[in-house]
Amino acid sequence: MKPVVIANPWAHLRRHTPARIALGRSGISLPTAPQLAFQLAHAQARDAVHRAFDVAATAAAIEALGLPTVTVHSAAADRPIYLQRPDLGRRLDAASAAALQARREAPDGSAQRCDLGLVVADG
Amino acid sequence: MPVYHHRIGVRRHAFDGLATLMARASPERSGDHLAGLAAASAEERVAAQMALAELPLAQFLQEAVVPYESDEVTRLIIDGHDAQAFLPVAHLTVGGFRDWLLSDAVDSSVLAALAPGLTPEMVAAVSKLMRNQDLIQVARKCQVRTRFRGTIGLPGRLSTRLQPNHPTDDAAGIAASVLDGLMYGSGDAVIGINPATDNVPQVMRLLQMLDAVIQQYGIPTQSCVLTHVTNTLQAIERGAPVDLVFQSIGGTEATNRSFGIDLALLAEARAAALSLQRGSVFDDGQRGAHVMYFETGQGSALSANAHQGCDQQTIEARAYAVARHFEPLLVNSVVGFIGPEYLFDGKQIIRAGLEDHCCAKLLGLPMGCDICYTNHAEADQNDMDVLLTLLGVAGCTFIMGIPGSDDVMLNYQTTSFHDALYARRVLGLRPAPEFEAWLERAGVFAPGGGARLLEALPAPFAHLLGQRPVSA
Repeated sequence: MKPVVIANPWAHLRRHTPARIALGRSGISLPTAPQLAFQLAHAQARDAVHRAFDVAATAAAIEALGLPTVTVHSAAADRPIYLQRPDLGRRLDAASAAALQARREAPDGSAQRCDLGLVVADG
Repeated sequence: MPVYHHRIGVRRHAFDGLATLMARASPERSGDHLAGLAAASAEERVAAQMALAELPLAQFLQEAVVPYESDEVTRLIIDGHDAQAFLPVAHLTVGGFRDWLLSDAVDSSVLAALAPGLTPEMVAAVSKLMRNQDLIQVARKCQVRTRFRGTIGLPGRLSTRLQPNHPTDDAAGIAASVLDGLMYGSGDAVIGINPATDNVPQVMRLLQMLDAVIQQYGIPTQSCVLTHVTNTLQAIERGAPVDLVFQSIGGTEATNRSFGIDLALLAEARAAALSLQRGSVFDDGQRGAHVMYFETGQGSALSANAHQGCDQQTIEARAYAVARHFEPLLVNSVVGFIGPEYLFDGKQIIRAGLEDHCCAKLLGLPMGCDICYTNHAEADQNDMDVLLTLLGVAGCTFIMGIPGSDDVMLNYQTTSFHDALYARRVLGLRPAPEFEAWLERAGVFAPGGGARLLEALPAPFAHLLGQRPVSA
């Protein structure tokens, strides 16, 4: 019996490109296997975009190196707001700005003072 | 600046100037919120739409949304306005214009004659009063035909740009995607590469490669490397086989400046491409002379901080005034490409795609659409299926064709070769006639014009692959 899915005889050209060529067809449509492969790739990309930033674990790992951490938050309250308002993602929220300002105003020699800050962020 | 207003119950909604009125009337999208221009409430939006509906179309000839003195796009719009062509609608309000467009007496010939009399702002305004079905129905009435080596935009046709991008511009990789696309009947609008490495020698290498494919197989299509217009100009000077000049364009002088272009540069590039006379001579003795390929997209002006207080859809429509001045073969709205801060989700992308297509068609442009999204947008292939089907119904000039919907160089998702075949099949659409005839001659499509793929690998391509033709 003739196979339902029509394969493309140029599948060996895939070695030249990561593009999704020679996928074959069911009628004129994408066969099930390449359709699900695409869905998986997009699902993984979506999961990566929306994966929550594990602040506690990241801070603990850094502090294990003997480095103090300060957790701050951008003015974008959550991921949907950040995606629509990247300008807010570039600014601190009020509480974070105040916390950093307090450190800046701490007396010399205080543990609150620092010479160098490294930013670890998502988004 | 005139203040427009509309009373709803005890509440009087006021709008300072035409640009603000237009912005508040625009259907909701993230980009207008980002710009701080969106209506503050759903009621305010409808109040603005009601005020806009009462506005005489002629007001758009009196009040510029971007100042005439400081913006060459505004000057192009106003100085190029055809008052004679405008006469049939000169007495109408924006709301009346919507009714007129939908009326039975208005057909493609009426709209073609009207196009030079319309400004982008008039068209943007009326689109803000339209539902999606109106955008589809009005666009479907428009017919815009363009030619280079094939005839694009005939009724019942849907063309495709074959987009064989490769992450390192590898020649074999690009050739593999070109072959894949051709075997699926894609590429009648253009075979167009976004180069990964954007310099003149690379652009020339890609142009020569595409030209060789088109010449060797006698394909009635055209090539394009989507590089900056100044690179294309240099490539022409160095003797490269340039069919179409590509450029991204925007709706304000400042947006275009951010792209490194102005109208004079586009005119120079068009003249250079025309001088090559690479279009085919058609049966009527005329040479195909549409040599420009433009891309646009809502949000580009805001992202360049050059929107000048206008909503993104109005500015997008103004980009079409730039496009039509240079008689392009193709114009393409990259609707979901710019990101969720401009069009957040499938609903906003679908609406914007229909708006861009309808507005461009009313202004007389051969409008296609890159029906697409990025991984950050709340959208997926199902939303693209909806927009593809709707645009196919609306008479969209062309769409993209990418292996498996996945652009592995630009890292976004658009329509595939399969998607184009789907749209053609369910809507009874066919490729450009010259390209369709080639597909049948080459043995890709079955004879008889039904856009049916054959199962056997066509002989010339089997030879290329070092194989004997595979029979079904």
